[in-house]
Amino acid sequence: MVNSNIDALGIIFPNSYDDLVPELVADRLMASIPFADRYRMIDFILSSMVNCGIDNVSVIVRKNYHSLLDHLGSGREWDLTRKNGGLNIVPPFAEKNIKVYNGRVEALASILGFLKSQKEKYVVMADTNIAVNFDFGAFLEQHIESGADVTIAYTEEELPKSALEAGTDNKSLYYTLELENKRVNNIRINSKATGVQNFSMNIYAIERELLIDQISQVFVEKGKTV
Amino acid sequence: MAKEMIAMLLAGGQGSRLYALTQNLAKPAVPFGGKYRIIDFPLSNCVNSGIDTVGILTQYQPLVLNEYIGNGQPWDLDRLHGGVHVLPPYQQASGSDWYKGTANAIYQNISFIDRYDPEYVIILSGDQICKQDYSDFLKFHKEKGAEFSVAVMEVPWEEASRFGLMVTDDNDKITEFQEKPKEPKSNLASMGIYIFNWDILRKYLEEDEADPNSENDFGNNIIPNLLRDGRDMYAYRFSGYWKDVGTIPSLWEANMEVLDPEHSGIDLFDEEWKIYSRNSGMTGHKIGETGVVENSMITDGCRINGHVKHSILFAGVKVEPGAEVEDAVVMGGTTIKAGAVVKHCIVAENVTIGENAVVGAMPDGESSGVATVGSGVEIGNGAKVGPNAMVSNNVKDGEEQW
Repeated sequence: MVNSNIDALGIIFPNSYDDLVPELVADRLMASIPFADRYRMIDFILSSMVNCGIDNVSVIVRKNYHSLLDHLGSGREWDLTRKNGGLNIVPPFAEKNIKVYNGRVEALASILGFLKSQKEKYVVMADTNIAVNFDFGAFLEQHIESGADVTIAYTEEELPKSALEAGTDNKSLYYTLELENKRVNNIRINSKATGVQNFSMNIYAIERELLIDQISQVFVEKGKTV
Repeated sequence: MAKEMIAMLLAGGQGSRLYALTQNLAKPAVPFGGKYRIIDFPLSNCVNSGIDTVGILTQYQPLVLNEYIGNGQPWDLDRLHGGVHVLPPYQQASGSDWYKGTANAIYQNISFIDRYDPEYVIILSGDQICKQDYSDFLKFHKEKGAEFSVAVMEVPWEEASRFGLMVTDDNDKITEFQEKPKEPKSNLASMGIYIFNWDILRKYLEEDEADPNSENDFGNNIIPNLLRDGRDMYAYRFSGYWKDVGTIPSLWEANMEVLDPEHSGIDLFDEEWKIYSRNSGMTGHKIGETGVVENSMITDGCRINGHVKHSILFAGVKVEPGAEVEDAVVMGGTTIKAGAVVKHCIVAENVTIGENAVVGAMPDGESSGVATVGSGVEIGNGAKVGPNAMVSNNVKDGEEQW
């Protein structure tokens, strides 16, 4: 294909970390929190994906998503109104015996059929709680070159106050990485360590087929979470 | 953000050899294959090949074409950066001019191309029926280190003299160009589809514009100049279906071939390479109690109550009881009234063929002409249109036109 050097589809989790800002998400979700005069939080990750040539983006919404639907529309402003791919907003499916999903794995399990039907080789995933210009092209390039199964983007910084002060029942999980030469040896959940840490941005790159395999396996063994 | 390759589609030609069909219509807007217009093929090829920026150069009678293209949404070319742009000639501070030739048309739009800062430009023609992956063509161009590549088709040696031919060496490098020669040295016919390195194209366009004796034509001027200067020129062999539908017989043939994708024709049922077009918005076709349809393509909105055999009916065609249609290409909105006989012909859009009228005739060894009726014409009751007729004006009741 001319002009296209990125073979990845994008998945965005717009509800991640809603619990950390309860006053702001009474009527909306993390992704539609306004920022810098004319944006909503999702614009940063969404635009970064589109600017890097990703034209197949799924947004798996969970609750309070009406303002987000209104903001995104058909995806026209992000050049995502397409016949093939484009913007795909996935509302949760729930009926009497199936509850609304909890956590990323269940969210991904709910679009397993969709993932199987797509043609892209890779999947990049992200939340919307960070305002960042992210080069998904370079990110994916490193993922491919390194031969890694999963690549995680992280920053070297001190953990934010809200994380350190959150109670032990904090369900919004955050992760720090123990690295050796870029290789992840250990992932700590909800660490209270002070000082500069390898703080995961929750931006992942993984081969689509591997993701499908993993989700299928994990989802069958109920009781496990991400 | 720079684009790797953008497309410039030449759609300004008059298509004079289609006579009545192009009186008020540019050739690329001529309907084809039931639900398409000719331009759907190069446009769909572009988007299927990953080219998201297409400039369409219009000049002759562009109104229907402009409205049809619109914002490019049916071809997935409604984009924020790039997409489809219709480019008519325009006035500049230094004066204005109609497009004087194919090369001049591109020359006048250098600033359009510069906006996308491409490395390559592909020049396409809006009057060919073809499914082609241009990214494969680009791959060839890059692999050869070419400055210019042209897509070519092998034609039978007996017919080679009808075409512009590329003579090549074993490495596909072009050594000579022959324009409709009496003694062909090659049977590789140019398809009029070129990939240029943009810096090279721009240089030769500017040079050509400065030459007052030039016809400003790619085939007659630019290509010979490139050859003269020993540029790296290569011929890319294309082996799929290709038809230049510039004459009535070839347009009719190409349409008939759509009915036979297994053998002669283009496969429009290919899920991997969709040809997009603007939707007519009409409801599904209906075949009535007295309607009989054999080996034909019937498009949305048709109402069939007569006998239709081996024909292509476009959107909204009405065939009344007792009417017979065979070997015919009947374009949108046309009504064929009771008892009319319509055979081996092309009938354009919004025509009315009166009761018991006769249009065209099946070939009988002596003549095999394709009768043609132009858009909006009324053929009166009991009138007769002979197999070689070209009808641009109404034919009154009972009258004949040969």
